[in-house]
Amino acid sequence: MNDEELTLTLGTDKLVVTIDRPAGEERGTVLIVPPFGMSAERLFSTAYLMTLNGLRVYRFDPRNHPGRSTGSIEAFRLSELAIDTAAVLDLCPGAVVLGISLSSRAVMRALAGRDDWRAVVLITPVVDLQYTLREVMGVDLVRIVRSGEEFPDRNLVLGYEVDKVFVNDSIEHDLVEPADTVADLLRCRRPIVFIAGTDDPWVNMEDVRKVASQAARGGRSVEVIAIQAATHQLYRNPVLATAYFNCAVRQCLRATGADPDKIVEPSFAQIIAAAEAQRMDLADRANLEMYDG
Amino acid sequence: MTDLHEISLQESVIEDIDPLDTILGTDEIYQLGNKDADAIDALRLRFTRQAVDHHRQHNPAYDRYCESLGFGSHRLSSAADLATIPLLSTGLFKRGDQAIRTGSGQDEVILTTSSGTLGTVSVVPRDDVTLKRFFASVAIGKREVLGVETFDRQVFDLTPATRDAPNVWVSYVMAGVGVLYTTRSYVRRDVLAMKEIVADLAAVPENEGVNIVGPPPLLLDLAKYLEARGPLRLSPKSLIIAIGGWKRRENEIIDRTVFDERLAAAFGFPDTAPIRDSYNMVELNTVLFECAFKAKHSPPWITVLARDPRTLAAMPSGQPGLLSFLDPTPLSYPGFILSDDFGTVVQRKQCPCGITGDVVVFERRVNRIESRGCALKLQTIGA
Ligand SMILES: [Zn+2]
Repeated sequence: MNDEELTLTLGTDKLVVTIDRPAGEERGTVLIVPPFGMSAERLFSTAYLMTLNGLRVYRFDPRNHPGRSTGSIEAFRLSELAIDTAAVLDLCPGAVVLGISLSSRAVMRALAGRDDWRAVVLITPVVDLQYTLREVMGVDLVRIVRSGEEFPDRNLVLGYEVDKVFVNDSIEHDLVEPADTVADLLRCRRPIVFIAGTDDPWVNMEDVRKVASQAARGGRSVEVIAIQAATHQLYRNPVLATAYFNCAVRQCLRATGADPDKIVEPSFAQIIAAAEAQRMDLADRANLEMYDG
Repeated sequence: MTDLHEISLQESVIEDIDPLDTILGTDEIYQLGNKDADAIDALRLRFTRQAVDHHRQHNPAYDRYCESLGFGSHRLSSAADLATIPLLSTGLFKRGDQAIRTGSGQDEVILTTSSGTLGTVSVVPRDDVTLKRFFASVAIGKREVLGVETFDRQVFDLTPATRDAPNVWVSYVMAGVGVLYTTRSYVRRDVLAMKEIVADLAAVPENEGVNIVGPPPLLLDLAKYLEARGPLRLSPKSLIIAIGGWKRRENEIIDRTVFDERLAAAFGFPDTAPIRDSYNMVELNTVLFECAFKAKHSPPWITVLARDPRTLAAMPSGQPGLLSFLDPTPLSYPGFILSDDFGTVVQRKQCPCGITGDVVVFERRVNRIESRGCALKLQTIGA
């Protein structure tokens, strides 16, 4: 894990990318695009699961987001996440791309019109940003912005103060409507897999089915996998995270031509041991002064 | 033509989420009692009954124990009936009684232990789902009781590293926290790297909140070090979370109010709201956190009852007794525990933090003689 680190330069900004190599035979590559508010470092367990299954992992800290890349989350913009995703994909052409929650929407934009990716797997995928924002925040910011009503410069989104530029940017870049999502999907010419929970209050399963079937009618190869009784809170309950991510790994294996039934599913105790080993290794490397008490 | 295109949309359904895991993945679950006070009772009844059936089916010793007491889950028709569920005393976990193991014995479990001297160590077998659900209780409590919503908050860990204390629960918990959040350890072989942690805390950007987690004596050591060298100026969004007890340093226990005030001053907080306690023991698969009003909120899926130490009858709300827990989250052992802790449960309390539900006040640990009376009742399980 954490085998290599690259820093991309985008204009005057830097974008930090971490590469994890599988221990054994390499079956393919996965580019993981983090969900809103989560740094690449926090994707350790997802990356670990992928490497155990023979997949090389690229994970990165988007700009204006938690992590080590330029900027902080107040200025986060979905259109910029699409640009960052595209830039990292340039490093790993042919990768399966994994989007999670809000990042799924940026992933669809980033892949539209490109052919150098193998498949896309989208977990708890935001396909109707207006709906998701309304459910998360309790107010319909998109409607407020469009109506020209006053609204605060800073808004709390999942615990982060986010500038209103986020909403304006999403509207300007056609990232808000389900129809925009369909338009992007119609330009995604490789297999698309949606993995959604039937009990997700922030992403309506029916909306996912609708955009997926419209893309399918337009000739795209689309699959929808419903996880019965699963909610959006995969980072709150590791049981849910396991259900979503094991399903995603199977799809990644399938996309790379491997047998999805040969999936390696680590226990949580194994993940803890791996994370702890990594943590201790980093602490030792930093030559922590232990006996200065 | 349309039909051909329809073929390219494939749909499938995966059904492997237990309804309890849906609950543990539900946003604002602690708010359940605000909307409907009876909703918590209904939830507890449903999942506790399901847990009783699971353990009776897969744990012959516990099944015989229930049988001997004439207990069956069909008797659980209201929340008050939950008090009749046969309990396991913590002593049974220390003795490795058969009744503490649910499952075939072939399933993979990790043996988590309490810290303590030989012969007084509880050993609790946790399978994968049990372990995951414990960490769900951590993540939910962090968000809904501690009030930390963001993913990227740094955790400063003052508990012993697992390589120094393999399988000791408090260390294991923090190792698991390291999977969920960016966590750095500052204790090796029981020694706190004081200069290092102070330097790292001083380097945290002014506006950024951090969590400092550790046993109370080490938190106090850190505060004393800062008192001598000048306080830090941490963001008031930060939290200091006490985990575990005083252990071999019980002679140093200070009054809670004084403890909070000293820590708040040392870290530079305007008040003591960021100083929080938590409650867990190795036998309990759920953690209880304090809100800003210092109330330890019982999450809606567990039932905490104070009991008469002699009869084990459930005490009314606000009356002190020996604390018992009915936790439906563990699959690999029955989570129906009689603790060694004395305290009260204030039921359906409307807390100023916005949560309406049971609040647990822990008073003290009972000594061996006091607990012998109830232990008598329980010691024959699994024989
Ligand atoms: Zn409260």
